[in-house]
Amino acid sequence: MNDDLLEQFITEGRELLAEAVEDLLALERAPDDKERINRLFRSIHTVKGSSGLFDLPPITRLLHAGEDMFQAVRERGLKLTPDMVDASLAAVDLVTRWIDELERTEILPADAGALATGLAARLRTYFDNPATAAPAGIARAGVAPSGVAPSGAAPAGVAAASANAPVPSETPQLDRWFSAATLAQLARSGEKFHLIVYQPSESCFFKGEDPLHLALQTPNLAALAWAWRNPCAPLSELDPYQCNLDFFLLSSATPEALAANFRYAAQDVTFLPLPPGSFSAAAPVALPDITRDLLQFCTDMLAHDAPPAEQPGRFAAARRVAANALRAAGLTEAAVQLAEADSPDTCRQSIAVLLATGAAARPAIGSAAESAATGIDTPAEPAAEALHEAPNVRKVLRVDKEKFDVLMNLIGELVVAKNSLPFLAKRADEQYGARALAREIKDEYGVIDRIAQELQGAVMAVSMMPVGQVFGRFPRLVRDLARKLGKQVDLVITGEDTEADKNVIETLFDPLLHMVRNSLDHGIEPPDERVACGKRPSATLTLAARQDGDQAVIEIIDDGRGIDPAMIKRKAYERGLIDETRLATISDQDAAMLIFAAGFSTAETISDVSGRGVGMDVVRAAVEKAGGAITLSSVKHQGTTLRLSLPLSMAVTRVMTVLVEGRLFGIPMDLVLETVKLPAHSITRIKNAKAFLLRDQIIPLRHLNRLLHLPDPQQTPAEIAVLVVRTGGQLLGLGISAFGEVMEVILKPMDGVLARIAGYSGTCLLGDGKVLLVLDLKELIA
Amino acid sequence: MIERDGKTILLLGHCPVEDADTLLSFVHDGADVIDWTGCTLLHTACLQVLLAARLPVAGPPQNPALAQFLAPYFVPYTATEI
Repeated sequence: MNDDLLEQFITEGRELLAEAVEDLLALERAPDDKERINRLFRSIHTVKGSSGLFDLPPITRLLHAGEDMFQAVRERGLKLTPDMVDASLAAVDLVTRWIDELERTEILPADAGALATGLAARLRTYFDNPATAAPAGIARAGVAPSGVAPSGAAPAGVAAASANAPVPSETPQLDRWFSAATLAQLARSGEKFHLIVYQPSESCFFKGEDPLHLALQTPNLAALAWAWRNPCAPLSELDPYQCNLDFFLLSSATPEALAANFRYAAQDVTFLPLPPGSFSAAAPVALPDITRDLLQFCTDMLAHDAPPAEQPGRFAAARRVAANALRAAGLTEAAVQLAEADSPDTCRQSIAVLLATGAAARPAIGSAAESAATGIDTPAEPAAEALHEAPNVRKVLRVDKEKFDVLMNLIGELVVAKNSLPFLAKRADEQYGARALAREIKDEYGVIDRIAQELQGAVMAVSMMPVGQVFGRFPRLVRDLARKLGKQVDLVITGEDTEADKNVIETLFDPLLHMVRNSLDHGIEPPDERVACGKRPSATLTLAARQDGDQAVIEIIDDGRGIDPAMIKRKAYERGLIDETRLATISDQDAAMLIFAAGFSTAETISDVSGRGVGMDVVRAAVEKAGGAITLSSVKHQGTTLRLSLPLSMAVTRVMTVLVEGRLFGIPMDLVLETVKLPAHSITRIKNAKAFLLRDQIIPLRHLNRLLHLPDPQQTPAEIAVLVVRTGGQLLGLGISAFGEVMEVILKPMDGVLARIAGYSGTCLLGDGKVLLVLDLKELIA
Repeated sequence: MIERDGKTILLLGHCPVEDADTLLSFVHDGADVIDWTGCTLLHTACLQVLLAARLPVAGPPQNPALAQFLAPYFVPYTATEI
């Protein structure tokens, strides 16, 4: 089996199936969304079609059933029920799993056949008698399940416009490349052909490739055509070593044999299975402009209101003009069909189909190629200019993470170097008395500062990605969970464009998942209970993201039963998480936060959704690890809001500098609660520990110089500066000499020999060239 | 191998990728006809030059695949024109 081909199938299959899930969920809410159902149908159809290239009958069979079902929904007004959505999601999941399996082992699991048959049968129970009702296009695909028509190319609207109209051509315009005589001969052979579009890369000669040789080696080659990819240069400018040829081949060999022949050029080759009858059906799509205009005129004529007496005359005239126009264009078959139209409406419909398929004709090969999932990205149109470059492709640059880190570091150094200018200005003024020079330095500093900040912002933006990437996975999860729990939930997502650091976003999914699960399981009531409380039966769960200063804030809001502080307190006490004194004194707000304590579970019974007592503490740990914080507010019977705030970027850390015995240290700002100055006499001793009273709260006090093994001050100051910090959920006062300023730094972890020293989380450079050690308080205090 | 005989360019035996340059220069210098009756293998680069040159081609080539699939794309050379 061809690896590249399979790889493409796997990648594209995954994407299309993910889209299908999205569409299914949207359709469940808005079953009349024509665009969605069309897209859904196309996704499934395309994956099914591509699966035919490989020996994967279970996938083809299962998706075929799904396709038939959506066809029935699309064209026969079958109503999409939640059960049908369930079954479809199950089918899509199964195929997704098989694709994963294919990627690992290249074969399907042994039970795939049986599973596919079972699920396909279940899907088929939702629509009656597909064999007779399915329109011609599908019936035809059904005849050849392994080599499937690339009808993803045909505009879905056309097929929907009239099921009785002539089947729109689903084949590429073979007559563009091959002579009528050749095609007629092939049609007579009655064999099944593949069209092979081979577009060798421009530089292929330098890789020792000989596309012509390879093309001529094609097994069962029946016809060969070529086209200039870009207009042929005049002889004087011709570069013979740039390959400018595309080849179009027809062969009756099996897909496997073809794939084997082109195994070294798989990325340049597209295989399109041609359904039987393609050769004769290929003609009607090539509409010359004049014919198109005439046909348009005829439909306009039929569309206008006319006195009843004139109508038959108009109809006859329009029909004759249209038929003649078609005949003149060499489209005899279509002309005959049109001439037989027995009412103005059928006539108009036939013309509409012709116009639409005519429009589809030009890009037919391109989109058909996409649906076959095997390589080229632009329509292959001979003599068209520079079509090889797809103009609308969004260009993405993939950069090695290490290179990006170097860039980050350099920006960091630039920021630091820039910060030395104010020091210089100060020195110019104070040391050399050159005030004018100092002012000029400051002006220059302003300019450099602005540029450096913009540069920093730009580089940060590179590593940012929208929160929507994580949110996108929730509609499906919420739907499935809600159905499983028998609850009705409307998921509202806002602010998905909010951007945050990629690393932060990636750590976000699991915590969010836990919280959403908890909301659904514990927060949101079953519909009858909601109605009894006077609420709408369907609950609203909101995932909202927004930027708040240098933090990304994500809220999970439900309008469920809320958290009952009394119940939380009781449970926490029962589980030994709090003692009796704390039970009596704890505030409602703090009690609600107890759900984040390890080993806490409020659910009366353990469901398979949540309630095992692991989760919320893990959530808190994960969020804190990403440098974020989590808060909770809840009103009984009205709902719960969980608020996650995360740093926008992990690259910049805000630290507060503190002076301890003449040395400067940094303390991460997110730990600092407040700064106070205490008179020495307000410090009380409890045995050999010190503590102080702050707003009726006893806070233990440690001296940072002791923790750092620095000498004690020579004389005890009358007033000491205390930094109140929160570490490990406890408040602590840190005695220092003096407060410094708050600054943004780029923290570099300690490495090499220094990495083993405990108590420091990293270093950064200050504007005056000094190194600032940033403390890791948790380690220091432990 | 590519050779020239007056106004005729001869494709002989195997014409590898390197021959494309020679072929192009011969065509550029002026030629009336390309004779590929002796051609057994033709590299895509040479084919490109042939297709761009639009000269009459005398055949059929020795390689039956070339004769079947590519000959139809060239203006056949008729001996009476000599």
